[in-house]
Amino acid sequence: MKRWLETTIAAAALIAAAAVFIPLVVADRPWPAGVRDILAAEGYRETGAENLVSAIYLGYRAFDTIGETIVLLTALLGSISLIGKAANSERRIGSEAEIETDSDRRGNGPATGHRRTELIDTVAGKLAPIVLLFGMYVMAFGHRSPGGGFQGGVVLASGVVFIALGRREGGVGAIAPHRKIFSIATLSAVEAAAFAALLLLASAGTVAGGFTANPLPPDGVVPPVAFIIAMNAAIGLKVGSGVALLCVFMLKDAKR
Amino acid sequence: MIELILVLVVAASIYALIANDLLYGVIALSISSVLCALLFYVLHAPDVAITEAAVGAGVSTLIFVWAIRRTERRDTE
Repeated sequence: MKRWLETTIAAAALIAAAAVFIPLVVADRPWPAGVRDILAAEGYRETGAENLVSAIYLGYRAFDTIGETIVLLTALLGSISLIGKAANSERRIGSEAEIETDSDRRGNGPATGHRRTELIDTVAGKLAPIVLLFGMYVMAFGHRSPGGGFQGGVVLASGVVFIALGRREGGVGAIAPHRKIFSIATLSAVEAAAFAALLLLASAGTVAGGFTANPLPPDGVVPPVAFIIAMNAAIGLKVGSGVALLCVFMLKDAKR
Repeated sequence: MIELILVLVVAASIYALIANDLLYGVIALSISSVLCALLFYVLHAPDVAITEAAVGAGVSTLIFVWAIRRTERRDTE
C-alpha cells in the first residue's frame, strides 16, 4: 500500500514539474538570440576549433570547466575516503567473520567472486585496448569531432575498469598482470599531474587576457587551437584517472 | 522516432521506480540512459550523447551496482 502512495507522490511531482516546464516550451516568446548569434559568427574564427561546442566550452567558458573538474575532484575525494573508512572499520569489527568467508570462497575453486565466468574476464581484457584507443581519440580530437576532454576521460576510465576486471585474480584475459601501469599509485600520480597541468594552462594567459584566456596569438607560429587541444588533454587525463581511481577502489572493495 | 524513444524512456523510468529487485531497477535506469543518448543523437547533439552514454549507462551503473552489493538487493516494504 505504501508503495502505491509513493508512486502517487512521484507521479504528482512529475505533473507539477510538467506544469512548470510545458509553458516554457510552448510559449511563443522568442528565445534570446544575441549571444548565440555572436558565438555562431565569431566562434570558429576566434578559437580555431571546428567543433563549435568545444570552441564555446573551452574558448569562452573555460572557467566553468575548471570549476566542474574541481567539483568532480571533491566528490571523488569524499567517496574514496568513505570507502576507505568503511573498509577499515569492517576489518576491525568483523575480522573473524571475514576469515570465515575467505575460506568459504577459497573452497569454491580459483574463483574469488560469487559468480565468475571466464567470458567476462576474456571479453573485458580484449575490449580494453579498443576502448582506451577510442577514449584517446574522443579526447584528442574534441576540437574537430564531437567529444572533448570530459567525454574522452570517462571513456578512458571505462577502459581502465575493463582492464581491472580482466586482471582480477585468476583472470584469463589479464593484460600483463605484473605491470603496474594502471595501478592505484599510477592513477593518482596521473590525476595530480593532469590537475597541475590544467591549472598551469588556465593561468598561462593571465597576463595577455585574464584567467583561462588563450595565451596564443591568432597569427602566431602555433595556431590558437593548440590551447584547446592541450586543455582537452589535461581535462581528459584528470577526469579519466579520477573516475577510474574511484571505480578501481570500488572493485577492490567488492572483491573482499 | 522521437515520440517512440520518449515513451520507452518513461516506461523504463517507471519500471525503475516500482521494481522490487533493485538490480533490475538499476538496469532499467541504464536502459533509459542509453535511450536518452540515442535521443540526443537524433536531436543533433552528439557531444551530449557521448557524455550521457558514458556517464549515465557506464559509470553510474557501476556505482549503483557496487552500492547494491554493499547493501541490500531487495527493496523492503
